[in-house]
Amino acid sequence: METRRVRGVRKIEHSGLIVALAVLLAAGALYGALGGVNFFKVGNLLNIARSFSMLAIVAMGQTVAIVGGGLDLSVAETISSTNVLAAAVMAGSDSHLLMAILVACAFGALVGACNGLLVAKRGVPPFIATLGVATIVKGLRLVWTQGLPTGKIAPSLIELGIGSTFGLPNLTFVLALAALVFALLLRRTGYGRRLFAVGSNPAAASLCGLRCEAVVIGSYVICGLSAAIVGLLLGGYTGMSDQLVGEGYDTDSIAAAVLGGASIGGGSGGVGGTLLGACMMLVVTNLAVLAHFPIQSQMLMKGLLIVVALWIDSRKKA
Amino acid sequence: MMKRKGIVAIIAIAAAVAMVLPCWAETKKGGFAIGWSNAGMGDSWRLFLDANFRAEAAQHPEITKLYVTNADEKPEKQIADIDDLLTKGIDALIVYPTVGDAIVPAIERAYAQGIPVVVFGGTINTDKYTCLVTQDLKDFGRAQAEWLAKELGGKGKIVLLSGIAGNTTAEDRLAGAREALKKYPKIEILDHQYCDWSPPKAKSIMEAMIQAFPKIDGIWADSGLMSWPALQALKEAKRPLVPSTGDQLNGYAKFLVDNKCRGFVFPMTTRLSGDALKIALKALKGEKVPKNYSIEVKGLGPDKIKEFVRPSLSDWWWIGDDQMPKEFLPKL
Repeated sequence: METRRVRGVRKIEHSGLIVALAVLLAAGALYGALGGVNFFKVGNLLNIARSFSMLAIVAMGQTVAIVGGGLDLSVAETISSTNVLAAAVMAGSDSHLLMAILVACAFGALVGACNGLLVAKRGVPPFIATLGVATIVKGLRLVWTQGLPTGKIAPSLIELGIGSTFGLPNLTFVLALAALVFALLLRRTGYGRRLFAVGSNPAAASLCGLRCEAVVIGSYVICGLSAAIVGLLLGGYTGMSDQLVGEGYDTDSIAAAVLGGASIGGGSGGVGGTLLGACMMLVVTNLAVLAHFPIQSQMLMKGLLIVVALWIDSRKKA
Repeated sequence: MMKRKGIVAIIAIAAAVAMVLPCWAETKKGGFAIGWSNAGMGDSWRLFLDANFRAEAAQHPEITKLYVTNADEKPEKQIADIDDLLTKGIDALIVYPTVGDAIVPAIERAYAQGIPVVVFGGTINTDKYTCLVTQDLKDFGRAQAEWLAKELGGKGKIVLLSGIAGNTTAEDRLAGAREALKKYPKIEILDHQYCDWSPPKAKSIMEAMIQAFPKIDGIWADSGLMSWPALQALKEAKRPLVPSTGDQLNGYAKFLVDNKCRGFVFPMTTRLSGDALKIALKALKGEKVPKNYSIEVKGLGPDKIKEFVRPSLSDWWWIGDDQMPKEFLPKL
């Protein structure tokens, strides 16, 4: 009975999100029909698809951390650091690309492990633990680069970031692969089931003999890895290494996950919802630029979205 | 237990070393002791600011002691730094202020001691200083917009890309640009967006603008951090690479030169630090210095950009600001 009720709630939420998205798209269509810019122009949709792919990948990693009962505020700094680190390792050459990817992923996993250890072993609240680790990651980066990143992005990574295959941006294929992996991980593996169990009731999970600590640490490692991948992809997209490239991905990824039904406090969330949430965030921003809304109203809309998401989240808990 | 104590001791020693390291002093006998309280060293622009300061200091044998502190952007650290410098008995204080009014009392304390206090790189909410060295940021935006309008022959459709909404630097540059563009009624501003000085954001916003406007004749951006990705977006959309503006970021200059497109660089000069030091020395020698000193900066057109670009150096090099002896340049 209980599960059926919970499923029901999730269904309604998703439909709410779909309705909201449909309203937005209808507004976009109306704006186009009234002589404004056509939102549904292929070129525009493909542009959104690229930014969407990158936000969605971090947001899915974030979802894993949230499902496990935490949240990760260090993704933005992890993205920036892996971006700079990977660019330095590859130094503009394809032959070092594999090495750069490995280094970036190792770094992301390491940051995640630090987050996880602090939260799981030391009981530090996730908010504080990940914020602290984020500051350390940023500090290390600044000490290392001395403010002067020297790396260069390899041509094949740039091709991955801006090129297309069969008319679709390459990034969307990366996203599809990532979404498949995350969906299988959350819904079809033992780890996924343990994660939901630990996230919804850590005490009960522990009594059932689950190794909660390992599960939680794993969730942060996965989140760190997804941030590392996005750090690489952003390098390809902008073609440069940038100290601050990840700015904003922390709040945006949390907002996308929560909009998509992940509950701060753990135990619920999923790939489908997070993808919808990320889509919503980007459609709003894109429509605002197409319609020449000033920055103030763009901020308002984004802020409202986040507040509505949290409101839904708290109602669900009540 | 012992083991843990050992670890704590090592951490404590490391922390102490880390705190002392930034405040190194170069000691010689006699002459002036100069203290510079810097707000932070977080980006390459600040590295050049530091390099220009040290290069200028090396030209003045009368400086015998040079203390430089770094506040890591924290006002409370900067207050402690300034007090520390005063205790060391400096003859002049130079301050690159952190954001906000928290450090005003510390600056006023220094001024009350009767030593020259030169503030640069920001504004400070008091008149208890000897000289404020600034760059006119409205002039920055104005010069960029003037060049773009002339480059387009006084007519065309342009987009404006700014930094962070509400940030004084971004808003002053924008105000200057808008003021200059008023003189060119045939220049149409298609759109203005804030891109937070973030390349990925600027790129996606420019992509949306490309969809919205079939023809864009020019890009006014207050920084190369945005005109560079915006040009990339144009290139990827197979649209003509139109004239653009930016600052002295090497990556932007490299893109302009590599793609043979015309652009205009207006430097956010890092010579400020050197000029602040010169003024502090003048004041120490009893010469009259102005209360407000605005540094003169000239823009670099396409030919100058070709001359100053550094193709083999980091994208984050600042072109034109590297006119100093090699040993002072930031290390790569």
